[in-house]
Amino acid sequence: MEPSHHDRRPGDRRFRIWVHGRLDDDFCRGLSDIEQETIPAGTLLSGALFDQSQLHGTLDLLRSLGIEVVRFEVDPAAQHGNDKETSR
Amino acid sequence: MTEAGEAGNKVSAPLLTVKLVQPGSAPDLLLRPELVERLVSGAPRVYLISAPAGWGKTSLLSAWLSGRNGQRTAFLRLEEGDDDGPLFWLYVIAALRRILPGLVEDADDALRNPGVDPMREVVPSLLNELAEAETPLLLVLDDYHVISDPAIHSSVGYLIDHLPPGVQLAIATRADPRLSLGRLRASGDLVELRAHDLAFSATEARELLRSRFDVDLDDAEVELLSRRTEGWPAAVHLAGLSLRDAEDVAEFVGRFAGDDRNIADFLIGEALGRVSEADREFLLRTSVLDQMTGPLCEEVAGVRDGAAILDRMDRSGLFLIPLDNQCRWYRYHHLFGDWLRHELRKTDPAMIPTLHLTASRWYAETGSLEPAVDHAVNAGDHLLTAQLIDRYLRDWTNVNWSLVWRWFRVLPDDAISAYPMTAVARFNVALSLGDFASSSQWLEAAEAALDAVPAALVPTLETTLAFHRAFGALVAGGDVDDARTALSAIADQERSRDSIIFAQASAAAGMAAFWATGPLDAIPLLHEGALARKRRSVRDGGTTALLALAYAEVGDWEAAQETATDALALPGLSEWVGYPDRMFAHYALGKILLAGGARDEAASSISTGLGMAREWVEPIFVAYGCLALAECRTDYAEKRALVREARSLIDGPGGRGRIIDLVAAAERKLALRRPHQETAGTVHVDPLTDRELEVVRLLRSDLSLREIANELYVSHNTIKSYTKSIYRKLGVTSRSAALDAADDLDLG
Repeated sequence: MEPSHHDRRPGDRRFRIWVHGRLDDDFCRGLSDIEQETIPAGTLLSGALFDQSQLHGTLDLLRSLGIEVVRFEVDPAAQHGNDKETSR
Repeated sequence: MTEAGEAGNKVSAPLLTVKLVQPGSAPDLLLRPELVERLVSGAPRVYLISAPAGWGKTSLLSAWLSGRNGQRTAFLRLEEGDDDGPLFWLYVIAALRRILPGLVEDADDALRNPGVDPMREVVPSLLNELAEAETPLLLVLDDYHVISDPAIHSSVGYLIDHLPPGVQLAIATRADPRLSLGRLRASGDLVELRAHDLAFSATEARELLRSRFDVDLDDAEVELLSRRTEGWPAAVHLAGLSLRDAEDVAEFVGRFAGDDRNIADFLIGEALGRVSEADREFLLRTSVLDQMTGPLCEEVAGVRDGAAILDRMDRSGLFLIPLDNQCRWYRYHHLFGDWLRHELRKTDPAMIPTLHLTASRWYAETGSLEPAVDHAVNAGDHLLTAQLIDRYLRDWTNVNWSLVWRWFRVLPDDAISAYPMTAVARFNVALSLGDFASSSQWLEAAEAALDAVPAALVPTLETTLAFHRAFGALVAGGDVDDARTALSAIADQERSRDSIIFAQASAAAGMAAFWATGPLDAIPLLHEGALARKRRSVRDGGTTALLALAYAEVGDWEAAQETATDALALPGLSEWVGYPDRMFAHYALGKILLAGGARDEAASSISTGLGMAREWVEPIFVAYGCLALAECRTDYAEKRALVREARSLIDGPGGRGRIIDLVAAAERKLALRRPHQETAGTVHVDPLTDRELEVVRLLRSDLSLREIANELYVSHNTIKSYTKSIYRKLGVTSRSAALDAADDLDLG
């Protein structure tokens, strides 16, 4: 049986959001479970994906702070039988 | 519980007023004439200004609208809490009423009921009245991106499609709205401004810095600044703040231009860094407020003379936006406010609930309960939220039920149970939802909390509870006669006060009377109740429809027709709430049609009502409909099936009141009509009498003949002669054979 979306532990998949410009070092303090890494011309924010609402909420936050999103990405779902998958 | 309801705008000032005031134009605002020209010279149906925070949408609106002197503008600034259909339209109508007072008068009451559908109840009338008014006007919706409810998008789309000539809509938003604007774009009926259009040119940037901040940059510096900010107006403004206070302008420009830091992060950091520690504290603490005024800020930020601080900050350019014309209320520019909140979350998250609580307390003390509740919700204090809602509910006539229902959805049950009015209101909502299982839970909680209510309110509250108890029992399958007695008593008690409870109780008493004793008793009560409900702006709730049915049952066809038409014309409830107000009107129409000989149309009408009744699942309503439909059918088998369904519905716990007699009467009529059948033994069956049929029914049970005699209040001998007659007619000699024969012939 295909494991359902709800069976995944939060944290198996990650999301990454690239934004324009370097952010202050403690930008992510106060945001749950998001890390930042400075890269050329920007910042990479990444974290454990819980669900879509969390992802859109994060994008929305960046939008309200006037931070330009350049790219975002979510890890593809793990294949059935992959040992990263939680067992049922 | 006060009864001080007043006609007119019931959404609370001053906060409503503040949303409806056009953004003021600061004297040194960059007027951007070319952009304003584009807005002014077009005559599209819709204007769309779509750009992220800080691109100057609101400033542009301000410049544009201030130039429209004399021309009618209705302005509404949307906030997150407005993402609710009825509330959204309440505000839109309030904004339009500033131009056309008295617009859609009945809308307020309709929109304040939980679950109402503005598309059905209000928007069409609104469009009609706008068309009739023939007044050119512009409706402006600022911050439309807070709307995500698809029902609102749909209704706004409808509005756009049906805008009367001369009526225009302007939408300012951070994200492209979910509206079908493609067609408008193609036909030239849309004027659109986006970030690209709103960007400052280097010249405009220089002009802003000079006029607003008294900063003069040379060409190279302006070029650098312009390139770095990419014309983003908020960035230019923020840079101006820093440049004004900078000791070495060139140093700042160099640092700014050469940095790879995100400009928003950099510039706001700079702005906050240059402000005094005390002011920084002030900014961070007040960031939790949607709206600010001196006294409120004093409480929340712990300062003296909040008004003076706000004024100083406004003049120093720190992103305060005045909300009213007397400069008493302000808000932060969204971008700035969002960064302040972000900073607060970073540095002192534990303080946030405390700040909300302080704000809640201030609003409660100054009598503005709606924002008091919102802040209590944000503070996560459920008990306080429930307590404030309890207070809010004391003004029962002015309650916005849509809002209350929204608040309830974030509250846990135990918080709601803690306060009497809140529990009663929750009971009310449960009833409207048809959630009978949970409604008794809420009534008990309200009664339990009664001791906590101030003595002056106890009598009114007790009457409310008595009403709810009686009505709840009626609706949830209780004895209809008892309900009728209880509700009539409450109606009698409240009649002279003409209170809301009177309106509710008299109509409910009429309903109970209809199902207990019948239409003649019900008609005066229903009539009185319907009028009272109209007077007190209480939802009709099917009273008029039931009145129509009562008239039909007594054969007053004219009255029935008129009343049924009235009932169907009333604004109904949405599917969300589900109570089929109109069901009885369809039954009534069916009866009228049947009396006129239009059997098929009658059947169709009743079937419509029956469909509604089945969904609502109240057995007596369905049974009544089955019987009415049976009368329309000519085929015996069809009639029998319907009557049997009615029987099975009322034989369970669902059967109460006169429906039981109605079903029995229908069965008797049916038995008389049944086609004669030849049995194997060529026994020609004489029809059994009513009484004999009753006995047959009792013979199916385990009761002995003596017990059956007791049941029917006759002597044992009488029963014996009945059974003799039954056996003879059926051609049998034993009880079991009699029952078999009765089965074959579909009797009893």
